[in-house]
Amino acid sequence: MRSLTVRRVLFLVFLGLSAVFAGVLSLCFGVRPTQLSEVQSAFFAFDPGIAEHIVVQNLRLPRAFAALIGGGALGLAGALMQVLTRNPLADPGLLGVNGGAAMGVVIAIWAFGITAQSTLVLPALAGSAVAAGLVLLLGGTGRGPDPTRLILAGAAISALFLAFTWSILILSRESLDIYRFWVLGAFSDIRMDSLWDLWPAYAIALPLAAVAAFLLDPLTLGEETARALGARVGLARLVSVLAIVLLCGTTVSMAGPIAFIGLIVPHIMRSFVGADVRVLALASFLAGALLAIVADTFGRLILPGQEIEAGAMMALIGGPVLVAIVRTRRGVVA
Amino acid sequence: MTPPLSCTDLHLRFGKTNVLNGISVDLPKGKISAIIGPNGSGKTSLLRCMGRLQRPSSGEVQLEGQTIAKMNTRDVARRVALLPQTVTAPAGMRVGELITRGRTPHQSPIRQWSAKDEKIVRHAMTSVGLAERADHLLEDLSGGQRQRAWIAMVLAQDTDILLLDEPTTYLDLTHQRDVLSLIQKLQAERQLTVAMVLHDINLAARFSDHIIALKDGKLLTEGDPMNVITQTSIQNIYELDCNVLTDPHSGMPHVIPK
Repeated sequence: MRSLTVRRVLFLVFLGLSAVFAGVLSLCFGVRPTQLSEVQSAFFAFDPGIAEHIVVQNLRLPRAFAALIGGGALGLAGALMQVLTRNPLADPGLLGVNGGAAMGVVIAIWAFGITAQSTLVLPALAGSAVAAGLVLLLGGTGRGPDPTRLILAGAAISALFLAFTWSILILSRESLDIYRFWVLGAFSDIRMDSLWDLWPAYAIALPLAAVAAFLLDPLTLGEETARALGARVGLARLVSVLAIVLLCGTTVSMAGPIAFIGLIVPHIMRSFVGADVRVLALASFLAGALLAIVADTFGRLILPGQEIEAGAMMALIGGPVLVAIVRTRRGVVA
Repeated sequence: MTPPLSCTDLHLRFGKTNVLNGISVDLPKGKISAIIGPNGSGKTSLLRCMGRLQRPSSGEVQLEGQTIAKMNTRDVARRVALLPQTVTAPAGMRVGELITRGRTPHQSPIRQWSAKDEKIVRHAMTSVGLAERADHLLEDLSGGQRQRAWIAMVLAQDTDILLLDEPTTYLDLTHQRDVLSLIQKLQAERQLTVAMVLHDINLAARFSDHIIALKDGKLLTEGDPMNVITQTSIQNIYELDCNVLTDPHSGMPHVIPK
């Protein structure tokens, strides 16, 4: 037991350090490659006359932050979602936040003429809040949210919002042009201002998710056993759903719907750290952050002078990795 | 002396179906009681009411005189452990981790893991003979070992009352006997009050001190296996024509259907 605990702690430390390291490295890459020493002086000897310094501070730094926290949030939300529903294919998007955010974005473009990607954050947040609120209302019972009802309500609300979204997109070609970049999911257009707008949401969501992980842990043994162990099932589910919605809603508003992390990262992590929800949640957070920052950085490097959006890149990297892990490691499939 | 757990006039209805029809029964302290009866007679429902997983439509369950419905959930879980019939552990869970979960009702956000928890978990693991397998994945164990791991999980809950719903389901003959002997051994060591639902009446006769026989949600008869398991009463409980012999090994009654 003890050696197992040590191994897990080492693994978590390794993940965390890798994510930070990848984050620092990402500051060096882009259309204009920058030496690490130059990146250093951008922080410690900032000179507004040097273009590299401006790029590092105003573009690459917020982008790295967004990828780390956004990727982490999606990984964490995915882990909670899979435990909550006891379904290995559950993805946080099933709660309707993606559909809601998409509709918020499209309405903002079409009705209010907003075109800059960075100003789409608030409409997306509003849209996902409306969708998640409806899903919670429909999926709740007197004794707390019921996982199956939640997913059904989420599917219905998503379909409804998607139908509205497409109706608007058919009416307005201009909306479609902006929307198709948003819907790929990317961290490229995030500015410090958006991060400042969103940090309170993360400051609430992350501790809430930590509480949820503790409350959810006995539920991995099934509802009946959890209740026999004195767990408060309704409370655990409510806190988890709130944490998931807040984490995903905020991230989708910031970076668009990036579905892959929430679905895949918890699977991969389960094979490394086992079934303890508390460890799984932390590992999924760190690994999500790592995958997002690596995908975002590679997306800048693969095609010279062009970028592949992080959402697409993540599937390109994560897909083969997942297949390899499923085929070689045990304990992946729940 | 107040019994450790007593049920008074329990009724349970789901819609128009009456599952329990006024059952009053006490679990004798420091004994193993087997709840028997045909399918649909309310055995599992009675056990779930005892463990407060099911709220009865009327009537009440008392733990040493305290009404269970008014107690705090965690307090109940510190005094009564219940192992459901069908249990599933998530992929990737190890034996030690499962048994550790039994400490859940004793933990709180402030008080997480202590040396006492560690000791109780170790003890539970050793009691069921899985001390060497703490680091094994549950899915690598045989059916019998897995069931022992789950029993260790409820032992780690460190309660005086243990409720088991068909602990021998899916096990072959040898493992059925092994699991029930283990329960008998643990009961004697720890002075537990045990109630278990059993389908196999011969196993019930051999491994329990007290039989609670249900039919159609009512208590048909209860008492010592010697007195309860007779040709007439089996006829009444199961509507089955049978011979009752004496098991040459244990001296307990053995039912052979005609």
